[in-house]
Amino acid sequence: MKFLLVARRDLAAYLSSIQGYLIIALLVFLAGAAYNVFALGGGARYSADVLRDFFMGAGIATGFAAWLMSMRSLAEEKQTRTELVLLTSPIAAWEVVVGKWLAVMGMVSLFIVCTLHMPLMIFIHGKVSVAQVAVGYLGLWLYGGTVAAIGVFASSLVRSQVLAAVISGALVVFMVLLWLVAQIADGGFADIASYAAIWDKHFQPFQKGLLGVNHIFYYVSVTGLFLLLATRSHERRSWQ
Amino acid sequence: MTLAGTLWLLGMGLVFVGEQIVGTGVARWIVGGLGVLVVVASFALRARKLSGSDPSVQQGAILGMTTAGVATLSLVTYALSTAEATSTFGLLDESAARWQGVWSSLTPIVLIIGALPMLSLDLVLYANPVVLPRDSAKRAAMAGLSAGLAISLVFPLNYLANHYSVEWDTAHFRTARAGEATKRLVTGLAQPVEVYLFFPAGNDVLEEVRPYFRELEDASGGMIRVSVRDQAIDVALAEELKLQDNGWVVFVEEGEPVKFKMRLERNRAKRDLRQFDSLVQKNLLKATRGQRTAYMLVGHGEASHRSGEGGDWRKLSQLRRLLQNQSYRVEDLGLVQGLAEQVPADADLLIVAAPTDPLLPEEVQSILTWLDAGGQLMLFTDSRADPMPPLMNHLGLTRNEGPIADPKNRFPGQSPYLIVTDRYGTHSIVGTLNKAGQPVVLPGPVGLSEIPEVQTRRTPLLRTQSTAFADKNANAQQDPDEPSKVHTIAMAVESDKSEDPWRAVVIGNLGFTSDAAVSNGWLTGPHLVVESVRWLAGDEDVSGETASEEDVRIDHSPSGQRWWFWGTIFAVPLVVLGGGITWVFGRRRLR
Repeated sequence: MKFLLVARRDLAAYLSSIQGYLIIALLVFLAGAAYNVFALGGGARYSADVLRDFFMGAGIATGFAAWLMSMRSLAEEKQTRTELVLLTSPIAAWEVVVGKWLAVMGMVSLFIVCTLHMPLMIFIHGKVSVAQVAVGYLGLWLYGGTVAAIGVFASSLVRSQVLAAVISGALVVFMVLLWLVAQIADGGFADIASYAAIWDKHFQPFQKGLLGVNHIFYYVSVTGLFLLLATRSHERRSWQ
Repeated sequence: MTLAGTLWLLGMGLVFVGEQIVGTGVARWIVGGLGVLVVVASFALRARKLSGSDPSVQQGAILGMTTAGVATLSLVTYALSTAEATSTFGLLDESAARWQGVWSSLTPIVLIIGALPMLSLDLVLYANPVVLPRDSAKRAAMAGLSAGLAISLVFPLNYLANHYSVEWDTAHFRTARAGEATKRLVTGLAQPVEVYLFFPAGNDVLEEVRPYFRELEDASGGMIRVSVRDQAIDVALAEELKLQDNGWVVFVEEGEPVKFKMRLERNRAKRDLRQFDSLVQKNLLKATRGQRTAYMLVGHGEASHRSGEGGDWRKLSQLRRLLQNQSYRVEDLGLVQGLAEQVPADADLLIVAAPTDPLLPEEVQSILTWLDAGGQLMLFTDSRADPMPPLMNHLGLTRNEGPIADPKNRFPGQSPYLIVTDRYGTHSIVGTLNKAGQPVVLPGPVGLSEIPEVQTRRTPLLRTQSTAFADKNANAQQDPDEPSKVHTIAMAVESDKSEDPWRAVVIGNLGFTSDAAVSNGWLTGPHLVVESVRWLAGDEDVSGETASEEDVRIDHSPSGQRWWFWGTIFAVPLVVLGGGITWVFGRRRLR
């Protein structure tokens, strides 16, 4: 359970700096603006459509939150030269990585909670079920978790936080755009690319209140995979 | 990264471009062949490290060569998965598909298991060109291999999860659900009905409607047989059913097939999907019971589907739509259409919607003659309407004086004439509403009284609460001669003679089923009317809920709501920021 110590330490660091709140406030504002302009704009709309579009905007904002929060996780340790302390400490590499990811997820969860008032309005004014809203939020959390894992992995590769952000951003954009690759490729590769796309096939069902075991499994497995890759990358210093 | 590693990646990338992006023609072979040459060059570069270096570097180079070899084997497995390979080996159909399936699944696994250890090793070799630290090559290869195995495991595990996945629809409006009424309809079918779903394979809309019909098939006990067809493939059947394209749902019992069209794109089909149960029910009724005709009386100031005096409270376009959903063709009937002589022979239902002017005696006579011969009459009346004594007396009813008011059971914050009640009778028409306990909102209803001397079977459907009073002078106040009591608002009437079994439903209100009521979301009134129509037609077996409730629209434009929305959008980020600043500076001050 040493990863909880790492998570606590990192989360405390996020919460005691003004940047974290600034990022969350800005993203909540942007999610709110997108909600007003795109989900609610253009005249009267069905509540199910409004909710679906809200989750799309909130999903993009959650991705940004996870991306921005995760870029510093392991890269900062390299930058401040505390990486060696972590590598030589009795904490296993995987515990460091999972702890870092949990801290990022703490902040992502805080952001997600701050958007609750928007579906609440749809709930009051329209006809959506609590379960539908809950499923959408589960999707947000899973998607945010995957982006955070990609971010932690990218930050394990390089010393610079900016470069880590560029790498993780490129990876996330690539994984989002895999559905486009599936359109131009053919055969088995197109199927794999379509399935591996992080948004199109897996997040959209959550937006509509569809809870599928396969989609949950996809996000959990991809998150686990990137955390494993981050662990291997973090250990690299010891054998390189 | 070493130069050999970079070249290898470049070569494999070229092969990928040639095969997956260029795909055909000479260009495919040129790009792919160039890729293979670059890969071979990378091996030549690696081979140079095998001699003349430190033993540790040589060991690393051997490992690198081996892992690169494994990764390059993926080109062979890929080649075996192509159509060229299956035709070379003479494999056809199923065996060719299996062959391709095996090799195309193996290709990414072999590639990843070989490439990741190779790239890890390359990183070590690049960082330590002269001497490698002890065990570093082995550890790098193991780290890459474990990552490669993990990635390889993700693919089959996700395949299994996808294959055995379970999905729950938690949305408030589930499109693919059969309502109770439709299930009862299919349970009571006398003959099997074939249902053809003409959609291309894998179509999104088909995915939405298929579970609906599966549910209906299960409920029908074999009376509904559903098959998915593609118009492009089942050309003969499509021609027989007169279909030019896909997107059709066709019901065939006997005679002319009944069909309706769905859009093929999920977004464009949304509206139909929301009312899918209602659409199916309408067409299934048409297929199994034929098209019926409902006449609406006109020419005496009746409410109708057209805009007129009284606005939306006397407009019945939604009622007309509901009738059409029950497989009725709706026509006008007045003097011009020959009502003075007779009610048309094809009339299955006659609707008299609160006429303000009296009917001619000849018209009344035609209606009564038709009714006595087994007709079905739906009669609405209200305080503005003509009392229609000859018609009402024939049914054994009279309309009471004055609109009913109920200050204690009115719609919150509204006039006492907008009363609310959930006191239903025991008739099958109101069975579902009674069970659900759904109240009905009635704008200015009038009471109905029975004439004991007239021999008809009368059953109350709906009553007011005991606090209601008939406001005879319409001053919105209860006067001494206006006692509070229970008033009967709606009544089902049947002939007491078995040889001429006519049926009628009389309702002392019109506004409760008007367009205004529907736009306010007061749907219990229209539901009561639909159930009445079903009973009149002898379709009690299809009574029950239709799962086609429409979602409500959220309108962002009204000024009050708009500011509330915008206020909250700005308020929450400010609260987050304010809370954060207070927390951070509060902690700093404490330190």
